[in-house]
Amino acid sequence: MSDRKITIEFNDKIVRWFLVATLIWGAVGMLVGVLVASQLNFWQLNFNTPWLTFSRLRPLHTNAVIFAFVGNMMFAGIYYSTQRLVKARLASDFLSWLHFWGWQLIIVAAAITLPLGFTRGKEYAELIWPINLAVAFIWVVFAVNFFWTLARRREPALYVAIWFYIATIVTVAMLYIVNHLSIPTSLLHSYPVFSGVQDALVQWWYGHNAVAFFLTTPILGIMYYYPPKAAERPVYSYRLSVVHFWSLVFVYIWAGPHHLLNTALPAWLQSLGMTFSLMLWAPSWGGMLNGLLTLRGAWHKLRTDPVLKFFAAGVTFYGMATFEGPLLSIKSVNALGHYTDWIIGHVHGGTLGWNGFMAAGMTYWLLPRLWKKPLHSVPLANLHFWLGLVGILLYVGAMWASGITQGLMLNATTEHGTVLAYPNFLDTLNPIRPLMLMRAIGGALYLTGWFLLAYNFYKTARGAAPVNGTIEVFEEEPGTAPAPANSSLGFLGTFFNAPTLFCILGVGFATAWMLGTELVSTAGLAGALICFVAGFALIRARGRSWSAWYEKLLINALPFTVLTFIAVAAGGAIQIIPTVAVARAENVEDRLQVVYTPLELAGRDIYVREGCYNCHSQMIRTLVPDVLRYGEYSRLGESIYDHPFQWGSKRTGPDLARVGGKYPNIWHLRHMENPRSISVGSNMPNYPWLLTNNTDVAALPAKIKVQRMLGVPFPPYSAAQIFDSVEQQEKEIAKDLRTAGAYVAPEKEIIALTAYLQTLGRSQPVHPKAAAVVPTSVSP
Amino acid sequence: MPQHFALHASAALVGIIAFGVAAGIFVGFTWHALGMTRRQVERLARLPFADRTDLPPRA
Repeated sequence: MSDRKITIEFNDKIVRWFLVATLIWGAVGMLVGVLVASQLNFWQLNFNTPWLTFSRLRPLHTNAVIFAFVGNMMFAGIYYSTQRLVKARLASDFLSWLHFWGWQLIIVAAAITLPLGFTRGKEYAELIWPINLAVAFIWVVFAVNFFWTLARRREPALYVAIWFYIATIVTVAMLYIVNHLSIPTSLLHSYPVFSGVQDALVQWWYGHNAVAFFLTTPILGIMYYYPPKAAERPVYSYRLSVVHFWSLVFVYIWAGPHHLLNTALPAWLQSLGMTFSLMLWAPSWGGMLNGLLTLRGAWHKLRTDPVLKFFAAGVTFYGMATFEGPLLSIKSVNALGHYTDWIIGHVHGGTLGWNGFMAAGMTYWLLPRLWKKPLHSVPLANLHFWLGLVGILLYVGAMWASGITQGLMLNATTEHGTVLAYPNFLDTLNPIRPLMLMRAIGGALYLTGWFLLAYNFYKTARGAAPVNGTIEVFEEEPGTAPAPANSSLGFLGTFFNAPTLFCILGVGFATAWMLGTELVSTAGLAGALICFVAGFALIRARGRSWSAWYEKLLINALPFTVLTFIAVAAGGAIQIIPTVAVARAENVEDRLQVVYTPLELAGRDIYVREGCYNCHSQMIRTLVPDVLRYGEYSRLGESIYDHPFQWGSKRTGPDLARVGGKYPNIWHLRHMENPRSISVGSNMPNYPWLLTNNTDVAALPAKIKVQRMLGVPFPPYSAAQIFDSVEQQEKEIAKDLRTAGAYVAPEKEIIALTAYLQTLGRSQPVHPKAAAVVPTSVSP
Repeated sequence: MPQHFALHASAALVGIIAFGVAAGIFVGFTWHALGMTRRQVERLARLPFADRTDLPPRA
């Protein structure tokens, strides 16, 4: 062992840049959030302008705060802590800068394309396919830089924060790739490969786990590094952190279907999603308590130290949000809360409280260290904390009250449950308007606090001479536990050893016991008992060798990553593979969607472009009030050809699943031109440009070709037949409008959108076995 | 319930195996975590402090 000391200079410049980007994009994302919150109260703030309209800006808000704000914060936090935990400089300066500038370019591309209406129509997955490719590429750059750094580390053991970072990198890659599988129809447009219920399941597997593995696991890694450093004491229980990690990554991934409770999603998936969501209580609260108890003995510092204030409140909000999430996943609670502002309140408790406060705490802690200068103003940081806290409480409280009020009103019935108490949707909107205003005020207060951070940041960094952190290490660290002899683990060593095999066999037998029929169940029980007894006997006899295997695993990043990936991937595989593998035609229940005409498809693409799904669902749940209000519950087969599905997740306006044929064409024209001319008191924006823009008919042949590739039984149209069909249907609708007293040129977008809206709910009754009907003749 | 959905036997088998593997990993690591010695735990928990402070002097 050498005693020669070397000095490692960390790459802190990249951390500083990511931190600046966090500050800027956080302000932008929250500013757009306050604007869209205000638009819900004051429709005039949409300015009759396409790119300023709520339904286009809401995706910009969500994407900005998730991927731009939390993304940059996560990268700053990971790069700073990883270098110190593994005692190595980031592996490649080039990759670090490629990562930084690539990510910022992606954000700029998103900020341009989303308001212009270029979208895939799936929540938090709206970005168009060329940007998807860029995200995947930059994520790989991040992964290579991270794992390369791990490979060059001077500390053999991987601290638990690194585990959370590893889980983030592998899981986000998996989720992102699967949910963004698409076939392009042009440079700016594509259709997702999944449709209907399959698309819904994949989307919410992704959507829920974007929360889990983008907004939670990296921040948990940050929680295990920064609060202990700020409180100057180690994490409360390292053992608990290990249990927290494995239980969280294993359980979290299964919970996606709780976004689809009481819908047409198969019941077994709903039950699975609800059960695992409830199970999440334990690891989430275990982790939350571990974070809070780390401050034991340092509580007095909260009085003066804004950093600890932010961390303590952030972890508390994590506990609150992870209590509320499982609660909302209970089917009966979900029947009340889903589609309402309660969900918005829940999400913002997590994002403003957990993500935002952890970001603020981390920034205030890093500022003096990265710029080698004391924080400009501690009182200003304390003011930021209190403004932020009051802002969150106003926001979340308002949304709870609003969501529960509207949920109760929408579900209220009279006459022994046979008549709706508030049949007009607008009757449930008006009482919550003051609460929606309170939410906007809460958001504005929170944003004001963020601006205070920006000012404090600027004043601290101005005139400072930032210096990269350094650490002196022995070439071979004598102070740390040396790596065990023969410490490498090969493929066989990782998977084929007694601990793994006994665990897998034991759980496999136990599952067979629980799920199997008579003989299989008995054999499963016997096998599980044998495994348990034999495993117990072996651990008594050879406990040390088992322990040695785990020790080796903890210092071998690759096998560790593979095992993490398996633990995470299982949940998605079990839910998605049967749903995708099953014959769609046999699972339509008793109705099959009628294939769109070319004009209706064009209208649907306009519906997706305008982001109508941000406020309107297309899913009537299997609940009496839903059926009384909107018509028969939605069947699996009724959205079977929808690429992407448009079931929605929020009802700021009513459900549209059966709006087709409910109103005449003229109603839709007037409503889109000025919703208040039809529905007095509506907060929906005007869409006047639909009356002046022409429908993009030229793109239809390529779109229909891709739809046919994806299995939608469009007839084998030629381009000329498509154009003829469009022209014919446009003229019919325009003629009908003329009869009703409105002149609109047939080629305008409102005609196509009306054609689409009038199809909603159109289906043919069918026996499931006879569902695979593929028309062969052209009959639009 | 209206939402019946065929669950193929092969898919169920894949599911059980995948669940078993994933749950096995979770159970195995939990088992290990609870069995770690105090010395191991303390060393790991102190990893964030195994560097020199780079705090600026108080203003």
